[in-house]
Amino acid sequence: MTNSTRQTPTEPAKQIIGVRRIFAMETANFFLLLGTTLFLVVFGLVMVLSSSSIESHVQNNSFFTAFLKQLLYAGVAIPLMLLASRMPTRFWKRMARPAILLGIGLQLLVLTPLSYEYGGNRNWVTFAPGVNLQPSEFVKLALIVWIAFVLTRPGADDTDWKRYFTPVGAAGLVSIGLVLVGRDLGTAVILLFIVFGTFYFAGVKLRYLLTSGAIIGVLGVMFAFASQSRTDRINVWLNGCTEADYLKDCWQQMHGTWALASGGVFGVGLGNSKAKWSWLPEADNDYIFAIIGEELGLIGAVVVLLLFVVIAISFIRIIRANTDPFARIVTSGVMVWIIGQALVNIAVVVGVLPVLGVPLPLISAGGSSLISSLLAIGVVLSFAREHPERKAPGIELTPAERSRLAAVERSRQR
Amino acid sequence: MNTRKTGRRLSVTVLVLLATILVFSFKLVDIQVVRAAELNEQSLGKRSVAVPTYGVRGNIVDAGGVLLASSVIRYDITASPKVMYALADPTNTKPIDPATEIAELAEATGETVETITASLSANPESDFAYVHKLGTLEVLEAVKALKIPWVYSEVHPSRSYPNGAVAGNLTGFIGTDGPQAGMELDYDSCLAATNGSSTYEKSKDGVRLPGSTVTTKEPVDGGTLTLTINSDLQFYTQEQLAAQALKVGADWGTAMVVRVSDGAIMAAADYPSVDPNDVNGVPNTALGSLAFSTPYEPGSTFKPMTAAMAIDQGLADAGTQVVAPGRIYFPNGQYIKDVWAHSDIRLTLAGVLMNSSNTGISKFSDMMSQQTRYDYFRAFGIGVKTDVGFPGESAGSLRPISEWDQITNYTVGFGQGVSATSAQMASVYQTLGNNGVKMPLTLVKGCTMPDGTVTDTPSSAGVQVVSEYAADQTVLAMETIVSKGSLRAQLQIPGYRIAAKTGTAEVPENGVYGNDRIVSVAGMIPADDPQYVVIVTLGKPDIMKTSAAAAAPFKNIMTQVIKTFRVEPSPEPAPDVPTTW
Repeated sequence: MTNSTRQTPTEPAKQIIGVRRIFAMETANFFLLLGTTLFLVVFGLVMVLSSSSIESHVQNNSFFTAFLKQLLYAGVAIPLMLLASRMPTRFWKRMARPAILLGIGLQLLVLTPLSYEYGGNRNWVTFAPGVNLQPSEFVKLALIVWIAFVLTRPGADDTDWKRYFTPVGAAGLVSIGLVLVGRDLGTAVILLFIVFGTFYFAGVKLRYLLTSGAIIGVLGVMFAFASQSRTDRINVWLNGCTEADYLKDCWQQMHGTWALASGGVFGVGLGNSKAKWSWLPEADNDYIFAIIGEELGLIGAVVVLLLFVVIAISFIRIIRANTDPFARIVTSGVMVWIIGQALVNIAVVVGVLPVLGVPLPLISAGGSSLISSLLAIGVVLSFAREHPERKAPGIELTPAERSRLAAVERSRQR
Repeated sequence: MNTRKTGRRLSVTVLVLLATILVFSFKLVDIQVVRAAELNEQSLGKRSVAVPTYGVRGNIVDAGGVLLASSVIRYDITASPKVMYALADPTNTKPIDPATEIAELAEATGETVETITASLSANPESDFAYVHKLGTLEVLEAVKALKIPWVYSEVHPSRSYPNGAVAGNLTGFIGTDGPQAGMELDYDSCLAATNGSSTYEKSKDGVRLPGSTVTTKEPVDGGTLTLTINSDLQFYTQEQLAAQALKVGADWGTAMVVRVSDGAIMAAADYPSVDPNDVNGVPNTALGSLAFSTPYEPGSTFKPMTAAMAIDQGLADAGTQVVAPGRIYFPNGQYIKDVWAHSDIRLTLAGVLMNSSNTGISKFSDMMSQQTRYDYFRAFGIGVKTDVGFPGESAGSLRPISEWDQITNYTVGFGQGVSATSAQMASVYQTLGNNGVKMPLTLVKGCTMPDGTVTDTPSSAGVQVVSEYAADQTVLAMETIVSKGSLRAQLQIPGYRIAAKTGTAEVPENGVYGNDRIVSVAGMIPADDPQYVVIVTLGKPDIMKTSAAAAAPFKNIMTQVIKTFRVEPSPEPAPDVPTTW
């Protein structure tokens, strides 16, 4: 930062300068990502209020219990994200090792009596009454930073198995293994996605990825069919629902589809969902997209899809604008996580994938998920603050980028 | 790290992302647009609950629009045993206590705890059970104040008869299985509403979703049935009849007022008669209208018919002279006689009617063949149901001439060995009063449907039964009964000319005439231009076994008719028609 120290005829007070520094013009990518994220979080709050109100009333005699909780989480998560966005890149590099150790450590608590079961899986840890945590959500971020850190250590060479793949593979395997012990298949799939996605964008040779992917795929199929309940879910997905399945494996899927159908093109209107009246399990969580589709219609659902595309585009722009391999890999990992998880969630709701049980990032109710994903976006935002003028020579600027850059410079020097 | 390679991979990612979004969008369009109708139908099948919606049954009103029967809103209190048991599940955070709530419900509805418990436990899986049927608004409010989540209510229109027993014999009533008697039964097609149906969607735990009610079929309200009667006159007639019936100890009685010009019934009273709000208050035999359902041997009120047919045949007029013997004997030793012993007396036709001479009227019967007389009786409506077609109406009995023995040949002429209802008799006097033109007897003016169309209007086609001259001569002869007869003091109304005929008929018990009498007075006012017919009949009075028993209510009702319809006094007094010679 080299701004604001220049003398002007009317010297502004020091406080004003300080405020100016805080609100100094960031890059367009910064605001694109921040704006879209904040919009989705606020939109998510509205949808959580709508979709949780009835079941909240049934359980707690108040329509707002779930919403207020989510509001509190957002109140924690958003400042945390803004704080993270102020951190320099080297801070995240330093944090890589403690973070992965802490993440795996927390995840280990799943094996202790501190954990408890919710919705068929045991991935929750409670520290005090009312203070619950899903460590796997934070493991996602820790793993991304760890992989990026390892792969960008000086002298990186993606053929050096011992030096690069052992620490990464160990961390990945331990994390995914612990999540699977907690029987949270959805999170395990997302973690796998993250590991592969990070490797992919780090430039690891495709044949390595394909080979290990094939092995994991075979193992995954074996794992999927090892359990009767998973087999049933997959059968229903492949063969469609019959009347006999309705009360068992199809309940959620059918009610989700019916919710979407009743929305039509324009939706039944905010708050008017019928599926949320205790019909659709996890209406404010894994199936919140169905409620969006019901209340806001095809238009609302497609807008949400497009907003995730916008987030993806801003991630890609941040990757392209950044020269630091560490930042690029972390950003691509976070992108794989946020966008991948969103696509998996929506794929489940529209029936493209069998029921996996992953929440919709930024929108679904859930504190751990919201805090960790906003923290991750905060990390990416901190990279977006790196300015294009520090780009290595040789990376060409488009005319649009150049004019934006000039505008940024002007505003910073005013 | 290879920047170029990453760039390529990012481009591939963007393409994959866009393709995925495209697939999802297609999938969304498929669900939300293409298959939406089909899927919505499926979901409705799981979520919706059908409920009947009630149209309102039409009112029954009198000619002036006074409500005789109307629909009122009542509420069925219903419950969902399934929800109750689910809420009472001890594993809930706050399980309810059904026993307390049932006790509260019992107090609010007036049902017993046992009946409610039995209804709820009949099928614990059911979403529907009755707690209380046809509750008033007060009951509904008491129940709602309890705020029991598994208790619901449904609107259930019910029937009310605001005038109570007034015309209850005519309106009939509604039982649990629908209309049971009277106009409610006869004109059910006019009055009945067509129930509609609607559906609402419920939450998984049974809560009715706001704004989810869809009317699948609109209910159609019933039409308004307008009767010809005047409810005030009906009230008075019923009061008079009942008072006199109690006074003389009659088993039953009827009283009718009919407008001469069109045969419209102004009042039709029965004793005993039903209060449709409390059907159990009277014996089953009194649930309909005796005036239509109960034929009796009318006796001397038949004589004017015999007189009219003789005049119509050109064989007599009011002054025609006959000799009435004390008795007329038949070869087998049977005889007919008059009520009072006399030797041969010389009577005109008017005198025969005034003295109610059976032997005298038999002389006129002798003038005509049996077939001729039979045909006239049929034309007057004897042995034929009236056009009212009241539920349970009787046609009376006029046996074919092949079954007339020597004595019946004469008795038919003075109303024994033949039976008729009060309604038929009223129609006979209407015919005589209306210059011999018989108008269809009517109780219903019309049925006005909710859209304004009027149906069931009465026919206005009259039938000339006897000539105008014959009818007028008969009425002239009947006037002598009021002007000069033995009951003149009880029957006369100053300023009005009245024609009437009394009847004191013997009642056959097991084929033998005994001590019981059915007494009646039938007549019309004013005699110079008859406008209203009044007929009062009392069955088996205990303490006054002559037509004098019916005279008092006859006169009172006629007075009331004059007041109600503002009948103008006769301009001239009754002419002096000779009765003897």
